[in-house]
Amino acid sequence: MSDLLYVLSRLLRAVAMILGVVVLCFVLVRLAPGDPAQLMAGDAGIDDPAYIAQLRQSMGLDRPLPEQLLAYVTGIARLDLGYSYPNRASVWSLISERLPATLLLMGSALLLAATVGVLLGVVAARSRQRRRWLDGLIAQGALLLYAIPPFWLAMVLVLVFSVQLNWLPAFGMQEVGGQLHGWALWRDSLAHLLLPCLSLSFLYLAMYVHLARSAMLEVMAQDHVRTAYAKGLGYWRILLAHQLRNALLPVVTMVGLQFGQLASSTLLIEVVYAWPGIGRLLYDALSQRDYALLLGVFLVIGTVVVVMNVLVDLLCRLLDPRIQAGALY
Amino acid sequence: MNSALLEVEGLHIALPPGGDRSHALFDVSLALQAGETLCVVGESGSGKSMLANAILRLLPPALAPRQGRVRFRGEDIAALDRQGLRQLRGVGIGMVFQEPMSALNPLLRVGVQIGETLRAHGMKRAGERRRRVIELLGYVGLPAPEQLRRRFPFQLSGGQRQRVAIAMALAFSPAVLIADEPTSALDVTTQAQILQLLQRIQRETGMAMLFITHDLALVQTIADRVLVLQKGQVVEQGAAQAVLGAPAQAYTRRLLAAALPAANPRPSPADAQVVLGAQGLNKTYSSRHGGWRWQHTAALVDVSMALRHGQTVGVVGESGSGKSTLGKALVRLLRPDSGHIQWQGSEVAEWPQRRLRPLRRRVQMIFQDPVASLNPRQTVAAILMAGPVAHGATPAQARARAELVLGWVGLPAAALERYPQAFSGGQRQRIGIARALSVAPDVLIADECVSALDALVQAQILDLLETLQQRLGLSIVFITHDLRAAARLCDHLLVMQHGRVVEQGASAALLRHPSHAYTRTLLASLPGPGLVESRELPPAQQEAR
Amino acid sequence: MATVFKRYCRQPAAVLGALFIAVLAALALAAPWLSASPWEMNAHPLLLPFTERAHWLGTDMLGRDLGAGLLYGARVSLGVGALASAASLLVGLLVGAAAGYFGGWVDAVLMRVAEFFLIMPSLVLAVLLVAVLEPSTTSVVMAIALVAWPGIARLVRSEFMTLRQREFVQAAQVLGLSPWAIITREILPNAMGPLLVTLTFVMASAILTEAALAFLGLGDPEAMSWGYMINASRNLLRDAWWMSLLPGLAIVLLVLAVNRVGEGLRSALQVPGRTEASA
Repeated sequence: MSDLLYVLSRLLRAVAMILGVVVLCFVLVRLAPGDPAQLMAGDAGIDDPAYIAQLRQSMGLDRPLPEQLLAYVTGIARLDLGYSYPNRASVWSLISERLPATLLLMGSALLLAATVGVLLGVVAARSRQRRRWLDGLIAQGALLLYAIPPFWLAMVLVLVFSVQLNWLPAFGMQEVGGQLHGWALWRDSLAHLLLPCLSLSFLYLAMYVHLARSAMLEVMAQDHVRTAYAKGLGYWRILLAHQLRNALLPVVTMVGLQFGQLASSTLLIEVVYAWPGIGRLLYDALSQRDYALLLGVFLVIGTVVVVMNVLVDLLCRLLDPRIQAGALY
Repeated sequence: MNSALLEVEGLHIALPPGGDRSHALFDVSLALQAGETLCVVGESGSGKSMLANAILRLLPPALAPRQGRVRFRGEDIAALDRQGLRQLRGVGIGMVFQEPMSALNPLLRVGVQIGETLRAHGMKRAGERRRRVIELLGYVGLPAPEQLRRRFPFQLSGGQRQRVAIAMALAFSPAVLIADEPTSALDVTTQAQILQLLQRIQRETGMAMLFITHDLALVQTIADRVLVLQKGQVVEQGAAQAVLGAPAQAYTRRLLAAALPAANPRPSPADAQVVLGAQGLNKTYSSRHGGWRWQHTAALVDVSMALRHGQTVGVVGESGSGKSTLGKALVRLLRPDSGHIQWQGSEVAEWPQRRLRPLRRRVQMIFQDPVASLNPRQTVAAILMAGPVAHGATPAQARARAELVLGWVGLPAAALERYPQAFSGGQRQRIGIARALSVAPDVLIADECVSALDALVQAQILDLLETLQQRLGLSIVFITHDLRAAARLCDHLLVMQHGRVVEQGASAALLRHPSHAYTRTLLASLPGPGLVESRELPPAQQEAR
Repeated sequence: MATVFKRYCRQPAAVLGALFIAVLAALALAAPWLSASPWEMNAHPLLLPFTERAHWLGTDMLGRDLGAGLLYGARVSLGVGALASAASLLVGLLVGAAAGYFGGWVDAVLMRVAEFFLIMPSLVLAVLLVAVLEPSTTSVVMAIALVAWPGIARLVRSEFMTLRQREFVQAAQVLGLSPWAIITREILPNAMGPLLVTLTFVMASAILTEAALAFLGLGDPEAMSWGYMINASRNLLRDAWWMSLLPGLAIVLLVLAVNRVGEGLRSALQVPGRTEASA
């Protein structure tokens, strides 16, 4: 029962947060200097009086603000995110078409960063006693990676692996015009994914190394680990069930909190690699001053991030029996 | 001595250079025979826990023994390979640690934690493990083992957790149990139960026990033999009766005197003026529990008390009894839900903080934790001058006052320019007392003010409090879980349980003829000799004291 | 204070970081006297570094001197970093102190809002804000502060909450010290360490965010910045690798230096003999 209540309360908060994103978008457009309808029309639509009149009508600009907000919220609830004038398409259709590519890139980078990061963090923490140099090397390396802007790293990787060595493709998701099938298609997709995924994952890899290392160091010093040794448990049982399992908690929590940052970096990486995701869409929308599309991208990414946070919260609760039902912090 | 089960021979463990001494353990030898209990006694930093960990090779490589040998059943444990070591740890020797909360993995069910020990040592069948886990949990006196094994540690009480830890150590009926301060974190009644449990197990299985403790009273209850450790060196060892009855070394004598202070009941000045009074205090804490349900804990229920001029009133109780809440209410660090508090006759229970401030100097507090109670970013001078300056003294006057009170607590004026981190626990507690005295209070409220200190230092601080009380005419509320300390210092006692005062009266009478069942349980749980009976003097002599 | 300084100086990496920032700040301040405007197209385009004495860091595709660009870029990075950190500090302090002081529903609401901004994709939000407000130094600083304040607010709040429960703060209250004295004498000096350290990390991420915004074309169009330089080099990777390499290295070094200062402060400000639970 309390599990159900917990899930419900989390969902309620998620809905509230998504509503917050929507309200934020609404407020931003109204706060901006100038006429909201002209702003939303963007550079492309501003010369089309019919379109602006129609926008003014659909935004309900002649009605009071609360009504405008209500209309906006209900519109979004029906997935009506507006119309992109330069693309001559609805914002939702543009985004939904590109979303899978972004999710693929984010997911693969997260997976890589989390697994390798935790692994390196554990190795570093366990090397602290006898192989200090290895611990130092990993920790310093993480600190260096942490300072590199991902979009620049992406360009350096292109410079090295595509321009100089010509090993991997520099942009896109698939070979242009290549009619590939089966194994060749897989290989090609993987080759295209590799560089973007690497460039994206390094920053988070550094964070997870740092987090996992300090969490491991903390857990290793705890009494229950000493108890595990005193019980005569085997090496792997102590490492996995008593150290790693406990150390994973802060890492998982952080993954949830930083999902938004990961989404942000993804957009930058997509720009460098011309990855056909919503980051690329955002970049084009920026240059065309297509605010409807901009807001739509923010809404969708915000929603994805909120949903991920709920999932991570539920995962944390699964991992840690101490998080009581409904305990809000 | 060849038949010794566990032998430690000339063990040396060096400390990293730069510490206060070169060795954690220096030339320590001991022998443990089957079925006996050897108590290792020492203050904090004596190396007693290090010794326990060294026996199971649980120390980090930097602290590997430089010299000496540990033999279990004649076999040198330094020579064991990984397999042999695991066998030694889970099967040959069991170990129980001090903190029952942190000694168990918070994320695993207790049944799993016992079961994994069984599995690690060859019990492969799940059904068999489950039966053994239930059997073990029942054996250590835990109720409803079938349900309890599915609980997580945080769902159990401290005593239950320690029972689980013991069950874990007993999984393969080890020949030796090493218990490292297994009851120090527990209340006195729980401690008595755990000691009884350990003694029962010993009787039934013939297991030998290496019991590590700082508490000599406890040693008197359980030890066959005693080893006294000081700064890593053995001071004295021998049969319990010999060492405790006629200690050969001065250090042991001092420890004994500090551990078992004479009860010192003084006549209460019944007619003196009441300087601090409270009537009908109530306080309930509410916390959100499981989302929408609120859990209410009654910390104070209809508590009344009176402190007369020059008197020391002891408030005794176990954790959760509400004694600390009472102390905080009395200094108005928190506002009671209802009831009255008088400082020198002024009714202050409802006053806002702003109105209280000018009066605050009359009632001061000494805190429990000598580390947390001093601001690490201020010098001792700044700490001691803040109070007088807040009450209108010039910096020069405050400085003079700081030097004066520092002298009263026995610290040199040179201490003024240093930071709290430069002092030992006992010295810090002296600074805390000096801070309270800096504003010339009439009333001191001491909340567990010696419980974080070693026995010898405790005795010094209690002596200091008594001297200061006589010199300055202070009235003291002494809040403690330690009946011995209370009996040593207090004229009048309040016994608290679940937020209520169950019994109160003059110390001598209350300790000799407790009327409430809970007070009797408390007294009976106290390890070592009784508080009053054992040292009962003929009536004539008692009057003379 | 003297001991804190001494402990800081004992860490070579932290000292090096501080020196780097100091030298860079001096160079950035002196930029107008050291070089011509970074927009001036006064040399051969695409000069390789170390080929011509007057333009020893090379030039870009329009013949603009890269050294001048780097100098002026430092002004933007450091300036925006400092301003955004200061703004975040201000907002974070106010919100955190209000939440910690008032507690109750004020605390609940403020922390919910902070949590919201904490998990939002900060760069996307900043992009949106700058795009709506038109790119300028002010809008960039505002956008970065908007996404950076929650971390500080949460830290300030938790420091206030935990410190208020500490025994030495209770002792000050019992002594009769005024709330103002308690906050300034007892709480703030102890909250300062974690706050300073967090501030360096806010600054580091502000520098990175500024670069990312400029890279997306959302920097102040009047100011030459490192992010803009990297963006400009995007289509010339094949022909002029140095155009992207140099400003990128500058960002990496500056962020690394700021983080080093933070790490140095962290260990220098730790009270010896006490393990820092908040770290």
